[in-house]
Amino acid sequence: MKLRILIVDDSPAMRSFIKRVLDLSGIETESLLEAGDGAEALELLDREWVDVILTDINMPRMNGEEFVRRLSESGLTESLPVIVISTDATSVRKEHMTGLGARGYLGKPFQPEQLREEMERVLGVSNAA
Amino acid sequence: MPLETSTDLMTDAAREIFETMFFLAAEDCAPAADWIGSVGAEVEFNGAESGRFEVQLDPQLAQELAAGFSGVMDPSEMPDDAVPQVVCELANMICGATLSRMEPDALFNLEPPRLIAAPGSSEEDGQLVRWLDSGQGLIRLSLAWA
Repeated sequence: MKLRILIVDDSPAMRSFIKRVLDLSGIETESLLEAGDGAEALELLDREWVDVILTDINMPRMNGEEFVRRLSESGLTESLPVIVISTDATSVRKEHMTGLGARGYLGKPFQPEQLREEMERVLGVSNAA
Repeated sequence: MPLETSTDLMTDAAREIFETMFFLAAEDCAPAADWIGSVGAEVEFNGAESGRFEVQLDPQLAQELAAGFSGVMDPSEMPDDAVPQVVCELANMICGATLSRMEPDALFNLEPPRLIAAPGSSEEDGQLVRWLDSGQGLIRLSLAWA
């Protein structure tokens, strides 16, 4: 299964890093889409479909918390899994974000295999190439 | 929390990020006298507590870290904004990981990182400062509570 993945992070360097990690992890991708914050991601989701979203929390304009809340309110998180990738690795934050509707959580720093495992857990499939 | 314990947690967080994300080992070292020309970024945070974290690196080390993080073999092929972007992301990651270790049951909000000039010559009371040597350049970590 080739995935359409949306990466939401205000840091172009981190978006580039995640794309490279996805490649190294063996996850098969059909396309990798990018957004610099939650608002840009919502605009993109109006015209594109994706299989999974990887999002940061701390972002300007619309942060990851508000982004996930909006997705949940629209019912999108029922069919579209969201994995949070954040420097905040506390259980408090993880519970807060999963309570809002995120299905996965990965703290930075992370290894390529950790990202693959979390994506496979959330998607319920083995996607390694 | 004792100052030494907090400083160790900050150093542990930084080391893990350097090793995991940049494949770089860094050891404690003595403060460098008359350190100039560093590249740095700071992150202000609030929430359970407020404060400011900053990281400073030797310019050559910052260049190599940015190349590695960006997956560029030849640093001369990197975009001009790659180094500041990676240094800002580095500050963001170390700050978040440090606070998660110091206060695992607390919520913090991190402001977007921003570039800063060389560190000040004086240190505030209670400011956590630690120097690391990667073998390719020096790193200065600093965390101050508001």
